[in-house]
Amino acid sequence: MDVIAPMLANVWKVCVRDGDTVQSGEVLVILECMKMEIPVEAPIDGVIKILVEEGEMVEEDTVLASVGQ
Amino acid sequence: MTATTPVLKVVKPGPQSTVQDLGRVGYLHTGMPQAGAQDPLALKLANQLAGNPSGGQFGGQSADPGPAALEVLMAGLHVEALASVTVALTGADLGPMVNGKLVGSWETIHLKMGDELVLSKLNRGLRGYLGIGGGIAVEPVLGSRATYLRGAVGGFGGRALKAGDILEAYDSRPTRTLRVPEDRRPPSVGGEIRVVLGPQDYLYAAEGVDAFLALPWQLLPASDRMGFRFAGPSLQFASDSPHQMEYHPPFIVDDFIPLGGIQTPSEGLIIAMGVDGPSLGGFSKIATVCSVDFGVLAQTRPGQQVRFSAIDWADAVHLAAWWSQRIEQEEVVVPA
Repeated sequence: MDVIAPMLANVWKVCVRDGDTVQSGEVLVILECMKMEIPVEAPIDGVIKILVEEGEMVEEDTVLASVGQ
Repeated sequence: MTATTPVLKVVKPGPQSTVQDLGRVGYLHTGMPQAGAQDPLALKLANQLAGNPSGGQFGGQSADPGPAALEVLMAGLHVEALASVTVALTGADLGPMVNGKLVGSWETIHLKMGDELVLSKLNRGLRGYLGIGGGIAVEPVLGSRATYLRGAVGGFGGRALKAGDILEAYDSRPTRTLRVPEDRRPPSVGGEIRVVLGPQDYLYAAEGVDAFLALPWQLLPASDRMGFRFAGPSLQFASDSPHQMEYHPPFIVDDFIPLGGIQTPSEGLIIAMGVDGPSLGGFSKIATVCSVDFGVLAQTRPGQQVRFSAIDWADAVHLAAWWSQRIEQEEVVVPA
């Protein structure tokens, strides 16, 4: 399942590593936007593939990570 | 004093949920921002759908800020009802769910004790307004319950909500079930932003004003309730502009900034001031956002584009009064 950016933002922090097993609700990536940190959570339990790097600007609907089961 | 009842417990607050009414009118000259809802018409309707008065006219002389509701930035808020309470979500479509089932936005929701309300998904827009029957009970500061986050003033302890917070509401009676049909909703995301030119439009070349109005502007990520920053064309100044002393545009002698004033500080960058905006600044302002279109500013996401169109001052004043009256006379809501 893809985890997408809700809007144009800077990738502030990647909180998990490729291949990590995460639980639904765990914070995967923190975006910086609107002068705030915006946590992006895993929608389901699974194994993570991270598709962005810290410092990268991402547009709305960019796939940040995917969660496989 | 009206009696109050604990009505909602915050399980998860979402990225930023604050108590807001129509704002602290009449203190901008002292440097105190108005604060309040960035989408005031959505807030008024959230209150009305929850059985509350809709408050005074936003952008008018009225100092009646109306009852306090929640302004919810993006999805993620999760609350549990501690008593029977009437609520309604307007503004952004945040996929409201009660006990795991999707329910409608822009309509009255009757929660029973133990019900769980989750704003599950950011579908459209950016800021939702959760009206709560009776209005949120917090102590007013300078006549308003609005939260001004940077100043830690008003609302719920001057801060955004945290998990475990308990919101109280003034006691109220159960209310009718109402909704706002899609074609009656106030201006929101995707709309054009109407402006009144000025106060310093005379400093710009005609081509500069034309470019401002003709070309799209992209909302930048460093935007919040203080200022909405847009990237777009560079705007040419008039070669014979009547500058003040050694100041050349975009610099001017420090001047008041109205709510919605649009500064043009550098090439390709403009800033429309929001409800938490400053009161003074030394950049020229090409135009001012009409209060009726504050909802478009509030609901546009960083990365999305807007266009500006100019209307007369009298039309802007008329539109603001027209929306306020239609809401107050219940011409926007229908029985659900």
